[in-house]
Amino acid sequence: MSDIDQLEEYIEKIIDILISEKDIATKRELIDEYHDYEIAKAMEEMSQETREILYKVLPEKLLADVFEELEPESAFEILENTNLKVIAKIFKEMQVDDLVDIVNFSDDEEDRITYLSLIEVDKRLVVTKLIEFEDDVVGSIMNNSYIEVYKDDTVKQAIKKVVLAAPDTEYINNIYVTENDILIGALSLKELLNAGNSPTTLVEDLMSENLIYVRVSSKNEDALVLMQNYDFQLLPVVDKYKKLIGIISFDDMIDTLKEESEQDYSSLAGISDVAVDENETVLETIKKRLPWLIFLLFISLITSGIISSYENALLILPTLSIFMPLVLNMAGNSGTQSLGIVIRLFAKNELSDKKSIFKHLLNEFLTGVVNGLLIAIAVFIMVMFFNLVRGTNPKEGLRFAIVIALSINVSLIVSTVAGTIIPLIINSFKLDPAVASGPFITTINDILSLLIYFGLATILIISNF
Amino acid sequence: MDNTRDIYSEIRELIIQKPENLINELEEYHIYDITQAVIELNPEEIRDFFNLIDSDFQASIFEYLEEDEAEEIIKYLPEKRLIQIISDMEIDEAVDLLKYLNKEGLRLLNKIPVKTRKELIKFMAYKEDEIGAFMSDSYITINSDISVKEAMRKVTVEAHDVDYISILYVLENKKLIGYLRLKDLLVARASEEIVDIMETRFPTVHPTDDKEAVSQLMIETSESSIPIINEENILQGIITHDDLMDIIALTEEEDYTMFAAISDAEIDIESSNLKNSIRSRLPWLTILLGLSMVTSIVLAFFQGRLSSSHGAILLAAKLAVFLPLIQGMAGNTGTQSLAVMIRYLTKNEDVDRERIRKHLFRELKTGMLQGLIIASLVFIMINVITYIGENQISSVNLIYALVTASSILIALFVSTILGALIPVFMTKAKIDPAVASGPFITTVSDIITMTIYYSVSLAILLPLFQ
Repeated sequence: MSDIDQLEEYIEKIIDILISEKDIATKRELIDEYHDYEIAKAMEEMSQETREILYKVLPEKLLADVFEELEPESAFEILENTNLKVIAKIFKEMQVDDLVDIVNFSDDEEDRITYLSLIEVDKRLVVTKLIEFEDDVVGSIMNNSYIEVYKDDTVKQAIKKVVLAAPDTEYINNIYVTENDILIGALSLKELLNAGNSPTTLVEDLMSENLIYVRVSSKNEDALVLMQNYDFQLLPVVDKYKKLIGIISFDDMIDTLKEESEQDYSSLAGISDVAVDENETVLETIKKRLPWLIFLLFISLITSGIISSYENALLILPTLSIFMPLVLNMAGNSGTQSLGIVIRLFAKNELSDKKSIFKHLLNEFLTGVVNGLLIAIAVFIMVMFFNLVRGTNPKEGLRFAIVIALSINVSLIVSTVAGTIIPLIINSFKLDPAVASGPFITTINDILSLLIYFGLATILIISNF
Repeated sequence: MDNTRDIYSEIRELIIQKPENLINELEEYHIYDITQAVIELNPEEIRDFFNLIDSDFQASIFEYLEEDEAEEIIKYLPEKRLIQIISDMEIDEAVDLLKYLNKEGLRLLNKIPVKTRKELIKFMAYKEDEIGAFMSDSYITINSDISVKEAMRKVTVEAHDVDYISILYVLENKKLIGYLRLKDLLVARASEEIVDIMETRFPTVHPTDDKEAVSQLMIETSESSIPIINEENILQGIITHDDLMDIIALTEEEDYTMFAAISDAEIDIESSNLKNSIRSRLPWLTILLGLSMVTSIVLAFFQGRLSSSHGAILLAAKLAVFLPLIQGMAGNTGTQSLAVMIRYLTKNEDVDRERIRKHLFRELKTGMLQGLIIASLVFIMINVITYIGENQISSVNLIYALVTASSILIALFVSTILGALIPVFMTKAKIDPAVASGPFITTVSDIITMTIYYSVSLAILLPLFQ
């Protein structure tokens, strides 16, 4: 054991060894004598240059042990000045709990994501779970299997690097060019192979500089859009200094692709999350659904209020209630259709300007008019047939059929427009657009079409009694 | 990227100014960006630009254009050039464009040289959900008897014109016998034989296979491409990662739109017009109307029973008051459990009985508990409202509240189960469960709910109101 004085002494000795002229193997042997804790303390004291020597002297396994001895605070400070590749190697050897401490230490979201992304994929999954990390950023799904060349490499050197890295690299089609770790260009394997006849050409002259990349803190969705637009199999991932730290490939994106429609489903179905966790308990399931139902229950009460205020009409003409569910249902259906379209358009970001919103609204209105008219004609025929079967008085029956057909017509127009306009309004208030769910729109449309139905019935039939 | 806007205008400037080395300059940009710049040009500029670039370049631009954008640009190009472009395009892209152009597409197709035309027609014959309709023809094949060196030379020569080079397909007498990863070829020694370094066990599919099955296979095997062969083992084309992304996006969109009861494969603002909107929605509405008619027939039956006396008519009116609320709530829970079940079934290909049973059981308990909570709330609310209105709660009113609340309980329970069961039955009957839409379940649960509500009321309340 060492007391405080000795520790000071050891620290000095360690630093002396590192900055001496000895070769690496000797230095390693000498440093190995000291306890991890002593090396850790020395690491806090030494200059950045000395630290870089230490990174070369100690194998990653030992460096990881040393980092585990450090307080997260100083570990973090040291890492901030350390080459990202070295960090990745050290992280590979570190325990999950120590990694969590280090990643958690930073307040800066982007730094956190950057460190996280440097952890190898399997371990990263564990770490992200432990720190409740947002998992919808590129940093949490990227991997570090890519080929990197320097801008002053020759074609020959670059090809050699590719050949060396190929067995361990999943995708070798894209080769990324860096200068001091900073991503400055890319070239495809095709281009490199094509240049094989001129082995002395510099990579710099071949590479393309207008490259598409994502930040480690970019949203998966944004990365997906880039990949789809550009037909890319890979995208390079950089940190805030544009240093290359990894890639994402199309197979990392498949989940994102599926999750996108998951969200749309959830909003259309009026659930906070439509995905099923097999081990979910009934209580958890209810937590996702019940709040919506109670909310909807209170809105539904309005329908009851409306009907009770028309109770007299129902007493005079009981047959009115027969077609009430039909009118309501059809209005609800066409409202859901419009909503389905609007949710998708939001997700695709296609309703960003006034012009497209107006165009879409007009289209919905016209759709409502045409569908309303056609459905109304069908309903009219049906009701007339219905009257025939029931043997209703022809004059009264005709009036009845007209009221129902007219109500359907108006309700369909109103509900088609409402299915579009309500989500638009909710969105413009920056509320969660999922509030405008299928059930919500259906309930609102119930209210609107009840008013239309009873309103028209009162004007056209009841007032004549 | 935040800087894309600038890139587009940069490219546009370049195209308009037409410097000597335009083509070289443009090589710096990705074709997608060039495409985005091109669609902003005026007809004159488009014509000039297409005069300057070679037909491969023109074809690449068209591959990145959306169909409606392509239709616009086609107007400015002479027909001869257009035919050349279509012949040079990736076959699946060319077919998509020709199909989009309808009659005009057919007219153009007839002018395309026989060999390419035959290919195109063969391709067009694949149905929308067959994998053949998505395959690409831009890859490298090598014969099994060539040397590593020759193979490498072939790659170098062809790489420039081919989109996908990660895997080379090894043929023997035109038959596909193996595949060779480019990275394995790169590290192979010159003395090795192709047959020794190639892989022979790899997934293959047939052009008529279902697109979803193929995408599933691709995801499971983590392959970046899958070859498509015919019965004689002759390579027809390949499916690559970008086809996979298209397929997944399309499948997801199909499922989703069906859930909203719209038959529209793709939703976007550009292609939306009145005709399309109606075509995609009216058929569903008509089916649902037919189904809704049942609600009226059922109600008519009950109304018949409820018109015998003044008291019965009074009850009929009272029942109608809560009818939309009960139906609405039942429809809502049905929609929720339906959505969950559909996602569950479409996302997991092989779910065994045990797991489905477990899931159904959970839905059962959920429906029960939610029904209880909502029913209690309704019971309390009805009583509160009656009390406010009449300053007292008579025993008839109390029974009325109880009947309404228990109808809600049963209705919620039944439609939760129904929402979960319908997709399971559909899968059993080999119908895509995604066909069951929200509106469909709402309508079905309307009928059931109403029957429950009126039967219970007739049995318990009618005697009290007589």
